[in-house]
Formats: sequence, structure tokens, C-alpha cells
Amino acid sequence: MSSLQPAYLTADFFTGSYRFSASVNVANRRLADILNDRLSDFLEVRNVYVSRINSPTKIIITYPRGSLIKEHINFVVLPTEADGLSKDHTYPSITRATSTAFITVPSFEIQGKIQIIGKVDLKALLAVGTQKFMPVLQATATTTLFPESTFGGPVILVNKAALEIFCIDQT
Amino acid sequence: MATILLVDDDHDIQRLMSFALQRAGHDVRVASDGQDGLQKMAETVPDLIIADLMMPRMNGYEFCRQVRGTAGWEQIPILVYSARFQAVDRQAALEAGADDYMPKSVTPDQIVAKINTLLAPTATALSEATGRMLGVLSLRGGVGVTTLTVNLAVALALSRKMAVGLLDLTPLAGHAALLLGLTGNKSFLDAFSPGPLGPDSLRSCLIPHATGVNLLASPLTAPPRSAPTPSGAQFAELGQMLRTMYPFTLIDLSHPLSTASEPLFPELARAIVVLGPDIGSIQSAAVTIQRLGELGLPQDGVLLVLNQIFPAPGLDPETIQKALHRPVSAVIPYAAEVLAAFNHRNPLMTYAPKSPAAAAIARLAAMVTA
Repeated sequence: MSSLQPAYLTADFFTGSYRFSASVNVANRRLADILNDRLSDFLEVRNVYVSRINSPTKIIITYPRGSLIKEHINFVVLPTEADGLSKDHTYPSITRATSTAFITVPSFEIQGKIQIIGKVDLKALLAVGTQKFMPVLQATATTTLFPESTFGGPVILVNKAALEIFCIDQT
Repeated sequence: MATILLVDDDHDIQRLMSFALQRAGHDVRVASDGQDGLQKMAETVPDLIIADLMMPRMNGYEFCRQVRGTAGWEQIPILVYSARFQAVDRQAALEAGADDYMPKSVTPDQIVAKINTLLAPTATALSEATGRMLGVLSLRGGVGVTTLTVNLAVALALSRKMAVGLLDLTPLAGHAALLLGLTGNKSFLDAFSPGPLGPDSLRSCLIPHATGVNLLASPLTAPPRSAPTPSGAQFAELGQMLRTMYPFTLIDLSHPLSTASEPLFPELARAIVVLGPDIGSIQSAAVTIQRLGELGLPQDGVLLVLNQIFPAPGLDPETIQKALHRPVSAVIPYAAEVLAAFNHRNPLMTYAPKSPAAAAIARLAAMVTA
């Protein structure tokens, strides 16, 4: 039997001040590919539930439709790994290696694993290709000012443009 | 089979979950948001609730809080499922009153399995009635049986902060609802008809009071002559079911020696025989105690309570004890507030909680449930 997620995928979108829980019509695409689609700067969402990050479970307002500006999204927490990997990232397992990463974006610290192919090149990791959002696997985001609030999932998509620092455990 | 209320604004998930739950043999009712859910619950109280968190008008957190804050609904299992799957979301849902939490990434089959787990204690409880029934009675009318029963129920609900059952078995126009200021068009007769007695039909007939008391009222109109009279077996089943639902159920036994309710007597944890300070009460109490023994109630389960219903003194407790050869367990002093409370449709325990009579009833409640 299928899971409870139909054509719409619900995810948590974080900016420096807000948590937006909203659904995206993913149809036959992956959310990572929709976010990385450079033809659109916006992300159409529906059933938007807004919380402030200092009280992330309190829903302060809800609207049936909305539009997120991609460049202001710091990161997205997704319920399944598959939705967070674009087709470019679904490498055959034989070539896949992971490295522990520590990342900061405004108001959050993110820890998890990133996929690496071949030699580690930080510059290439952050700048390569057309991917705006980078997948961090088995990731946890901690609110800097409220470290008791953490948000985790099988994958977090981090906006490369929002990165403050990016560290990995390889020399 | 359980009656499950599904509260979710997503029509696709409503269909998917309804299909899975019905396939598992459950009766499913659907609500589109928290407000709609509360309305549906007022119509039919479910055995279990599945609620989404993110819904318009009233979200799942608020819905859980409202359910838990409503008398009679405190014990209904609530399973929250949501696309918000973080640990903080789970914690917030549990704090709002949910019994368990699942992310929406699970399959409906996994939810059905969880539901069966949550319903299991209820099924066990139905086969093992663990609550206690306390009967209040007198063969002499006008000694305040209903007033004492209602106020004992309120005292228990308030002191123990729990739901308490209250059954007014007066055949017609009993006063328990009036004393509590409750209105409703259903009585214990409705629990038996048109279908067989069951948890659903019983819950739909209960009238919740703000204190936590849940009243199964006496009928306000006489049933048609052609209507079948509930049998003793049905009353016994009713008692059994109330014992599964509430830790304590108070029963106003009204006319104990002339109704089909006698099968309830052996099930009573306590029988409180109420007397006034008069010789008629002594005679009635003597006959009542003898009859209770014949019906199988242990003699040590019978308590005598003297209710000073008159402002002028009557027979003193010592005289009554000597005549009946057993102690008077409690004396409820005369209180003018009893009449005022009744006319204000407010039980004495909340109308005049500091009155000596209320204090005596509170002590009696503690004694009979110790």
C-alpha cells in the first residue's frame, strides 16, 4: 500500500526566522529538482502553516496558498531521502562515499553527511554545476539561539547561497 | 469493531485512511478540521480519534486540548499523525493530549496496527470491568437520596480530578439532571434502544457536566405502554459497561425493591442507605438492609448515612445505631444552602463548597472510595 503522501509533498522550509510547513505539487518530479530549477525563482506551495523558530510547534497562521522565494530559503527538511536527491545525486552505490559535515546558515547549525565522489574539493562542492541546494544526509539542524529545538530527517537540502561556513571531516 | 473519528482536511488522505480502516473492520467518521471534529464528537463519541496537526480553522494541537478538556472525552485515545514529523512536534502533540504520534510518511497499514494497539486496553477493560459502583438508596422518600448521590459524584470528580459516572435510575422524572443544571433528551432507556446496549449507544446518552460527572439521566417522559421494559440482565450489562468506563459510578437506586435493577446490587462496592432523623427511616432502613443481604450484597458493604433534612433536631445518631444494631457512618448536617443550590440548578459541592454539609459529603466521598 502506498504511503500517505500523494502528489503533494509536505516539507519544512526554514528561513532565519520562520518555519513554513507547506505542500508542494511534485507530481513526477523530485523536490530537489524543483528547487534547483533555475527557470523559476519561486516555489508555489499550498496549505502553508507558519511558525516562528523560537516556538516552532506553535502555528501562528495558516493560508491555503503561498509562494516561497527560493533564495530566502535557508534549508528544507524532507521526510524521505529520495525526495531530497536530485537525479544528479543518485549515483550508483559503488562510487558513493560520505563525509561528515558541519554547516551554518543564518540562525541554524546543520550536521550530517554529504556524498562525495572522488577527491574532496570544497570549492567544487560548493560551486559545481547548477545545483542551488545541496543534500545533507541523516542531518540535524539546531536553532542557534534555542539549541533545544532541533529538526532532523533523512535529508536536509541546504541553500548554498545561505551558507556561512561549510566544514567536512576530511583533510 | 471500533468507531473511529478521522480528523483531516486532506480529501485524498480521508479516502485512503477510510478505506484502510474500514477494511480493518472499523466504522469511520470523517471530519475536515478540529472544529468539525468537535461537532462530530458531540453527535457520536468515538472509541478512538485520528487527527492531523495541520488543519485550517482549528489545528490538531488545539483540537486535542479541547477534547481533553471536555468531560467524558478525557479517556478517548487520540493518535496524531502529521507531515510535521520532528521530535518537537511529537512532544507538542503529546503535551496537547495525544496518546501517540506517527508521521504521515508511514503507510495506512502501519496506522491500523497502531490503532489496534491503542484500542487494546479498551478491549481488555471491556472484558474486565474494574470500576466500582456505589449505590445510594432509601425506601423512605424525601431523605435526599438524589441530592446526596449527585453531590457525592461531584465531590469525587473534583477531588480526584477524574471522570465519574452517575446513573439516575428513577423510573420517571428523576432530579439528578436538574440538580446539575443539565439538559438533554436522552435517558438510560435510550441506551437500550433501538439497538442493543453498546459503548457507542451508552456514550451517546451520557450528559457531561463541567465537573467531570457524566450523567445517564432518568427519562422525562413515560415510555409508551407498548415499549419493552429493560430486563434485569440489561441493567446488569449496563452496570458492567459503566464499570469499564469510569473508576467510580454513583447510582441513584430510587426504588430498589421494585425495579428490574436488582441484578445491579451484588455488583455494588458499597450501598449507602440514607436515613432521615425519624422513626420511619429506621423501619425503611431495617427492611432495606435485610433485602440487600438477600440480594447478595455483603453486610459490610452497607453504610448508613444520616441526612439531617430538617432544621429541627430529630432522632440522634446513637438512637438510630441502637435500633439498627450497626453504626451510622456519616451525618450530613442540615444546610439551608441545599434548597438554594437546587433552585439555582447547581450542586451543593460547587454552590456552597465551604458549607458544613458539603464538607461532610466530601468526607463521605473519601470514605466510600478508600
